[in-house]
Amino acid sequence: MAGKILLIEDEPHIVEALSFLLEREGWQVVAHSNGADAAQVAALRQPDVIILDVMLPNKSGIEILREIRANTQTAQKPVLMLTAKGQARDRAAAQEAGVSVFMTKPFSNQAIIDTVRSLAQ
Amino acid sequence: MSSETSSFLERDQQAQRKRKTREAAAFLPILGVILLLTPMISVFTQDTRTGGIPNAVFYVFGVWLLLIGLTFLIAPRLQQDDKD
Amino acid sequence: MQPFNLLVTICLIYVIGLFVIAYVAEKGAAEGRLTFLRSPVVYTLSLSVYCTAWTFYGAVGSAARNGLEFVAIYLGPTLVFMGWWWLLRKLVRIGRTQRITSIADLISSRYGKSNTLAVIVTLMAVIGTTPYIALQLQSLTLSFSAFTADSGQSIPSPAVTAFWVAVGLAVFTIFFGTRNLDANERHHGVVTAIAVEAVVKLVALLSVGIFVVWGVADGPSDIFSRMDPELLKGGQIFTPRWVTLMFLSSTAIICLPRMFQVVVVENSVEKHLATASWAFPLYLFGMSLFVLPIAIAGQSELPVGANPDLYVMTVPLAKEQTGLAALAFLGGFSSATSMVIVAAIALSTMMSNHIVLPLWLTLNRGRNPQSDDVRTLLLRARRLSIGGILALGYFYYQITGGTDALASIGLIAFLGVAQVMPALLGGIFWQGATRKAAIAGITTGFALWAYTLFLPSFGGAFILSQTTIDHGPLGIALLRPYGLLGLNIPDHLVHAVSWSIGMNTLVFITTSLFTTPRPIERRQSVQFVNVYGRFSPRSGRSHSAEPEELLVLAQRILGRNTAIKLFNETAAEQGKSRGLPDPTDSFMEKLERDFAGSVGAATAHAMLGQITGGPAVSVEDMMAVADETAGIMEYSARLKAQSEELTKTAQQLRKANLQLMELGEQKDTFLSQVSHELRTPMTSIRAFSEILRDSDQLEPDQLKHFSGVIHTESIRLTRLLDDILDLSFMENGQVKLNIRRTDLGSIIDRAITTTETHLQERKILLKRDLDHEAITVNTDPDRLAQVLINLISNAAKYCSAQKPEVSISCGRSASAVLIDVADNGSGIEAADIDLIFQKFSRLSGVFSAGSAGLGLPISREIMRNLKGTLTYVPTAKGALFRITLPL
Repeated sequence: MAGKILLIEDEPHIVEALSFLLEREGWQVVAHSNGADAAQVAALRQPDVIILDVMLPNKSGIEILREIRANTQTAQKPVLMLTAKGQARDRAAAQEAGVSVFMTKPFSNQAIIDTVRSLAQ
Repeated sequence: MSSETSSFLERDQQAQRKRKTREAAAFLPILGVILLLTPMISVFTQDTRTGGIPNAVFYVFGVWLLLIGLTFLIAPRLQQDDKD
Repeated sequence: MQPFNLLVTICLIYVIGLFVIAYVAEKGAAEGRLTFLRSPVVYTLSLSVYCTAWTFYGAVGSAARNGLEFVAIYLGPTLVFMGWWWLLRKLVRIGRTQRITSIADLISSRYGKSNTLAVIVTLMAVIGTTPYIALQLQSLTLSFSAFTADSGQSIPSPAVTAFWVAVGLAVFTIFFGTRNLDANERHHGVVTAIAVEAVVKLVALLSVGIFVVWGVADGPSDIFSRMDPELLKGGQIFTPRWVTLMFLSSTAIICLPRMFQVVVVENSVEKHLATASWAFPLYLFGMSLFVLPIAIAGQSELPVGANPDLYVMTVPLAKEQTGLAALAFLGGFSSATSMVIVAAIALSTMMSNHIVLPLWLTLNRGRNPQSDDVRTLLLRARRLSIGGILALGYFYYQITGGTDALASIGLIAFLGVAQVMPALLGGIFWQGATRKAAIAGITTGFALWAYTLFLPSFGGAFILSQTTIDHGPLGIALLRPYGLLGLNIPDHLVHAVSWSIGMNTLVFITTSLFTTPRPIERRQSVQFVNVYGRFSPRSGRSHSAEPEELLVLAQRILGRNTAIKLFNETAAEQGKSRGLPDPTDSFMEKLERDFAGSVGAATAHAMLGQITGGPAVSVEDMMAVADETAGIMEYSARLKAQSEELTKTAQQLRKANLQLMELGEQKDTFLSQVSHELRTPMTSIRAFSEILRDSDQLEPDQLKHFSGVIHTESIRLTRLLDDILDLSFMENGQVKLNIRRTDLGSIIDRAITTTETHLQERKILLKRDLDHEAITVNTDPDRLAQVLINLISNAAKYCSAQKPEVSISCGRSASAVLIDVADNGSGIEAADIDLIFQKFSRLSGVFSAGSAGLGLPISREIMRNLKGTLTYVPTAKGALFRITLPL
């Protein structure tokens, strides 16, 4: 068994695509669509890799990342961030907040799978 | 007292001195006119003598010398003013 | 050796000595050595040309006749020098800045460079000085004869002596007075020689005085005990004559051409005045200290009938002190020669600059200027003038020699030149003084002087007959020269001073008040009266002059080397490495000033005017110089206005920049939003299409589902792009409307049909008010439906109530139809109301992901295009959007 992935994303079709891809590779995918309690969910579920969307209802991805990093239980977790805006400003903010890998939508499926795999090791 | 204030006072004093010198310079010729060009000159030039010399001679030459002396004192200061 | 020969030898040795001194000084000054020559001491000593033979010999004579009266002649200058800060300093400053060459030049320059005035003053100066030169010649011949009277030797007649003296003086003056045409008109050699003569004069008089007091008598009290009591009658010093003499002498120290020459023109350093202010009065004091004792000694020691005017020499001679007498003779000789030399230089400058050169210019108008050299002309004119002046003096002496007319000429000449005083003082202290007034005042005063003093002094021998002098012309007593209009003053001098100076001043002031100065006068008046000011006035000439022409002219006047140097320097200043300088304002002004140093202000102005060709002063220039201060104020006001304008512009720029930055920010945000909205569906499409491509064993259901997602997201993408284009068109007003009369109910029907699926999905109860929907509106039904669809689906999407309801109600006011779309949700927070109509806005609370935030902005744009409005109406419960449509 490859491990557990927490997928924080509000767009249902993207959640569906990513879950299909990663589960096929043997991952256990936990999806969560609300930004407000995403960090707590991460602490609770203790995933191996966290996939985080930048734009979420109620709370921005950057804020959630900061909370994850601030919590000792999740501070070391690898976080893959996805954004649809693709602005340099967002990338810089994410890096400052402690992102592991930053990817722009739309992405290639293979790239996601490879990244998650390398992050889990 | 701040240094600015004191330098201001100094400048003020300098300006005052300058004005006084100029006023003195203006006054000198007037003094000369009063001493030599008014009828009061006759008061000092009566037909009397001091040490065998007529008082009139004493008066005229004395006033003359006095005026020269005063001019001598004031001239260098006026000239300094001019440089400023 | 015979006394006469001895005397001649002494004189010759003395003159040769002076030649050497003058020559060495001239050379030294030219080479920049002998800087002590420019010391205040030399300047002060040179002022002693005031003390002529008339004062050297005559003061004793005057003391013997009138007691202390002679002192007044020295006290006047003393008072003027004491007040140097007020008058002399200004004169010297003006003299330097305006390159004044003579008193005539000063007056002419001040009153608009008027040559008429220059000629008048020059003629006056000649008339006033010629007798004075004759007087010097007479003194010299008298002293010669007095020295040799007892020798019984046959000596040349006085006329011959006078002739040779005049010739000798002319040669000396020509040699040192016209060696070169200095731009400053200074004569170092002559001045140095005169300073030496000043020392000789003083030493001679002091020596005789000391000899008289301690050699002849037994100290001061002894000498005064021998005094005739009538000489100093108590209370008789202060008389009208005393005041008059003081006035005349103080005027003379400035107005006499030779005094103006040494005080103003020869002054090289202004601060020398400060020393001279006390040193010159001290010199005069020394010159008069022993005058009274010598007079007393002469009266008591010499036989009755001896000429008091020669006591200085005859007293030592009577005591057989030949050496001392010779020294006294040399003192008198020095006094006479220095006066004649300086007077001749001053007068020749005036005559050549103001009479000869203007005449030559007039005669040569239009001639090729290269053929003649003005310098040569000027030097020749000066040499001839010097010769002419001495010749005039000699003939005057020949005609009137030995008469009373000559003896009394000193004070008469003083009054003649004093006529310049009102114009001079008015000129440098009063801007309102005009040229016409100066001419009127000076001629009035001069005429009165001639009539009441000068002409009668000939005692009926010249123009006015004795009868006229005694009884008035044609027997009209009121017009008697010595009692004009019945004015009965016994002293003719006081009478003449009162009339001439009084009327002169009166005419000068009144004419000034009633005449307007010409523009050039106004310019000059500003420069003279405000000579200490720092602004440089504008030049009043249009500079059409060619630089080549100017150079030719400058070479003629200044000499080749000086002119080329000046032009090269100016060109360098103008930043030109080669070639001639441009005739700029400042250059022309400098040229004119330099020329003025050689030929006088009026002539320089005329010469440059002739070259430039244009009118001397244009109307604009007149306006500009009318009030220099106003000009400066205007300029500074303009500067201030400009800086204010700049500040304003800068503010506007800052504001515009801020707006641009804001717009840029908005654009960035918008693009970022558009990117997000487009990428989100794209991500799903790409992810699923890659799954479809890469996976071989997919269930048919999965295959169908994934293809369906791709389809849905593609539609979403298309709709989004449509919306963006739609909004862009509508914002630019490019939308095409299809306006027609339609039933409102049917439009609402269409909107509900389209959104039915949404409503049913979320189990939303829809409430309608069919009764009020029966309104016919004039609008684009498709667009209105679009707005309604947007509002209903929004309500359906975001209503958070347990039992969601959406109600559509209609109504009409006087001018509009109202359509309200409301839900029973939590409504929109007050802070967000403004945001909801912005593109892609997402509200902090209820917004769910996946929605393009373009619905409300598009709806609002549609309503705007339909001439209606779309507003959010805050209510107690739920959200309420209100559409208004014009009827």
